[in-house]
Amino acid sequence: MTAAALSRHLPETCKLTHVVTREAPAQDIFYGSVTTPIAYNFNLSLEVSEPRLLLESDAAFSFGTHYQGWGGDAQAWVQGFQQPLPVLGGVPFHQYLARMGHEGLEPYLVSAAAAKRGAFAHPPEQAAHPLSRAEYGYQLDVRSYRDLLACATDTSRLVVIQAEITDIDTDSEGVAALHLSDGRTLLADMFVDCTGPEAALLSRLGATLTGERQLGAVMTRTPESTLGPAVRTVTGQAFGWQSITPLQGASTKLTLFAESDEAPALRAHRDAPEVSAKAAFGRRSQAWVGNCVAIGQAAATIEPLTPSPMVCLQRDIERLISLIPLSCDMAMERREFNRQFDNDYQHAELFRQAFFATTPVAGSAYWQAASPQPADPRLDRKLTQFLSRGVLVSYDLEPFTPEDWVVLHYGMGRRPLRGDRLADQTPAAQVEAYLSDLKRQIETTVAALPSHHAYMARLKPFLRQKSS
Amino acid sequence: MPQRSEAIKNICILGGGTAGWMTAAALAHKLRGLPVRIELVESEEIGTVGVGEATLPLIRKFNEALNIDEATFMKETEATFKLGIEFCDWGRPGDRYIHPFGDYGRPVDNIPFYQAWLRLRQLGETARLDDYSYPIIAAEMGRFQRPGGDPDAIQAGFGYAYQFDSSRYAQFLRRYAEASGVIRTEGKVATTVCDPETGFVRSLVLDNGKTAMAELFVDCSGFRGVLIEQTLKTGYDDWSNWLPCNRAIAVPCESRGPLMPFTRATAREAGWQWRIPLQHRVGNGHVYCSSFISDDEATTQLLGHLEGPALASPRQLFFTTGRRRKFWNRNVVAIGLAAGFLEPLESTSIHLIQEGITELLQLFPDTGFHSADADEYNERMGLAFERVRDFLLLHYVANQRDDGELWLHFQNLALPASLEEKISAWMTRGHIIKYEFGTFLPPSWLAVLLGQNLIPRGYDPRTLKIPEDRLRAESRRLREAVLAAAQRTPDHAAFLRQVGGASHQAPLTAGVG
Repeated sequence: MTAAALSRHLPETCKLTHVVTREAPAQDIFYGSVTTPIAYNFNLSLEVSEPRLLLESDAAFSFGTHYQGWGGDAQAWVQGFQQPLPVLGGVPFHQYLARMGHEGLEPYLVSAAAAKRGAFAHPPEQAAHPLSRAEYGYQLDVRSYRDLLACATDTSRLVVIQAEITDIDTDSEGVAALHLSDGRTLLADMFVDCTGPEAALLSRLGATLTGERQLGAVMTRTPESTLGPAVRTVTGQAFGWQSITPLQGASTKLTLFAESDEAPALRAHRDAPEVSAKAAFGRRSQAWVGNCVAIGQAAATIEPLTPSPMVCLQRDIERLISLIPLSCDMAMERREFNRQFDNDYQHAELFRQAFFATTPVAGSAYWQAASPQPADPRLDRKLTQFLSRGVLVSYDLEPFTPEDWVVLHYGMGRRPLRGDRLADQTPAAQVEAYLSDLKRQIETTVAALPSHHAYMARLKPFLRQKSS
Repeated sequence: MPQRSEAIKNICILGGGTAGWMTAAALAHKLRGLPVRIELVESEEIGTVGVGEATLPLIRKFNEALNIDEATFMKETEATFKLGIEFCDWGRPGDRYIHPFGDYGRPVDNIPFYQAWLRLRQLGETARLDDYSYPIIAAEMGRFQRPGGDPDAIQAGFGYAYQFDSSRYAQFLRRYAEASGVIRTEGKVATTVCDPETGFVRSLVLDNGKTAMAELFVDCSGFRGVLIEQTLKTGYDDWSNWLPCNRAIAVPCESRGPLMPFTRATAREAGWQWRIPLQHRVGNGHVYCSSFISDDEATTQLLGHLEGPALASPRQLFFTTGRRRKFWNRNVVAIGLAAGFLEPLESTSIHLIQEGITELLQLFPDTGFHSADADEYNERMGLAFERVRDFLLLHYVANQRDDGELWLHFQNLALPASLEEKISAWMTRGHIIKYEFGTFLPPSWLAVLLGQNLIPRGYDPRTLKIPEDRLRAESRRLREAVLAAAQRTPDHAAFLRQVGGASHQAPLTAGVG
């Protein structure tokens, strides 16, 4: 992804060399199998349009993730991608639910309803259409996605070297040279470390790893003749969790576990693992040291329970593109990159940690290690404000939207203790009628949608014809 | 803390200036239909400061939320349209620039336009960045129309605000609020009665013997902070080290020349002078630091720069820049000058009142006065004040003036780390460190940084991907489109009359010629 992005965005004056050290790093499975809606624009910036993504990879649409059996209370909800919820008379939608004592948000979320029914259609632009409130991302197999991006890379801008790194020279500026297995020595003004959790370059420059949570995962891909629903399913387990992601022509099963629970996890996985990986989850103290910047897992390994790993990876790349140094004095770019990285990582972590602010699974090593102690005060503020009166606290430029948070809160059973006084202005009967009507509209709309499979089956020939 | 949490039934607003009546009008409208009694206590003997006459575009949201008709409001408050602020003599004496309400140009291949402009500038292009801003060019021509029409059109995407007589605005909102059920009580606070256990304010005993009781008090009593400070001893964070101006002299004068759709802020030796064109007069003021100029000299400077005869005697104001340590303390919420003071260099006074009201409504308490509500309010308002402070400070530090002790003070000032870093990122490559929550977003920072001659050493290298001739051609087309659109725009005064916003005085004739 980084190579594709740099090849598209950097001027000719900048010479790019891509050292490909191995075919398929196993730890790529920790990037997960879902993207958020921002992937659409990110892909476009790499000249990968949605038609190309669907025609040239096995990616499918995604309305979100269906969590099941989560935590000690076995919670279940669809974490759907959603446009901002209606604000009525200046009062957020969920405050009306609180006022009327309605327990669930899900009946009013069209993406969740469609996901549960296995249906999909592109959200129309007409704002009056109930489906227009839905957003979608993609379900993908990172290997297939990586292959597509390799094709999308502007190869005229890139020298590709297939070799292993045998040694790294460092000096006061950072990385001085890479010695490669083919005997060559590679010099550069700047090095981008995409070597995964080992951070082969960055770790040599003193960027220590914080976070000691050891997780493992296995993945198996199963051929499917029918495309499954536009939603990933994540099922909580004592050892961790297991996900099923429908793709075109296949589905992938990922089982993630605390290292000490590998045996029960493998039993639960049932199929023979196609890919196995382990990693310490956490982040480097700095993502950019000297002349070396780490992208993706080399900077931080994030649990793929949410779409965070892909979101942060995309943000890493966009950040790098916007801060490519002007000269070998890259102090300002380094500070700004590290500041943004720090914020992004911490904000993504707040979202992940919020999944664990519930009854833990008794005796689970995975749950015991999932939440840092003491809890992050910024998460405390978010939870306290929502539980107190349904207020959504946001920090600058968070990767997850207020809608993501309200869906998560409701999904995990958090309800405001008090309502918003302003929601009392509208007569109860009027609110009830509005809510009933909205629910009915969503039910009717979703009932008329084609299945994800049927939609894709009709869409692809159209896209093929159009592209030819 | 009270034991039971029930809905608030009585609100008392202390103070009837701009903040008081804005709060009263907004609460009355937003809480309409609910069993809430709103009382505003004010004394005709106590003058109001009239914190600012120029506003930011979000004021339109405030008026719209109250279903206030724009033409009626403009007519009654002698309002004019505002496209931005002209800063004169801020970089170096003789310089000028306009900080518009809107972005410059259009992104080129998803790169902010100003980065392409920086590159063209290094290639010898001489056009100003201002030439790519429709609101700036329209403002310079004295023209105005509302944004709208084809969303892709160059004149579609900008903001506008108003310049108005804030005393009349307060009166206008008083009529609105009273018609919406707000009870106005005349009187000065003689005694504040507090709960001996909780320290909560329970009632105000007035000098005329009346008593105002409520569960929630909103302190709009101005600088004195009768409830938030005199009663609750909340404390004040003094920001004078960063923004040392501590006095102002205000005087209105007759209008001369065309009615321009912008406020002007002219740097002076020990501060700066405002000029706000209204329909019936021009508001003027001199904000200065008393350590560097005497009051008499400040007054002389102000009067010497008036464009027409003064319409009143100069009025002096004293202030300390800073913020209350808590904006919401116990059952008192301070809004307006009682909450804090930031000089009106970027027209933020009324805006911060509006922010205070908006947040209060979002976090509207019950009688339990849960600490979570006050904590969140204080957090949000603290951030709003701090970010405005840093933006104001930018004006003083991003310049080349050395013609007075005030300017020398800023040359040696240790800046807040966040501002220091912002300036460093800008100077290196025109990178703007942005935030999501705050009044001033990147285009505003860009306007001041470039306007005050802080030209970055580099620019975004992604612009090098764009062929130079394409960049030049697109820029030229954009400039021409901006100019053509501005030339098609009606004269400001003519537009004001056309939309029915002109008052019945004869103010606009001077502007037509």
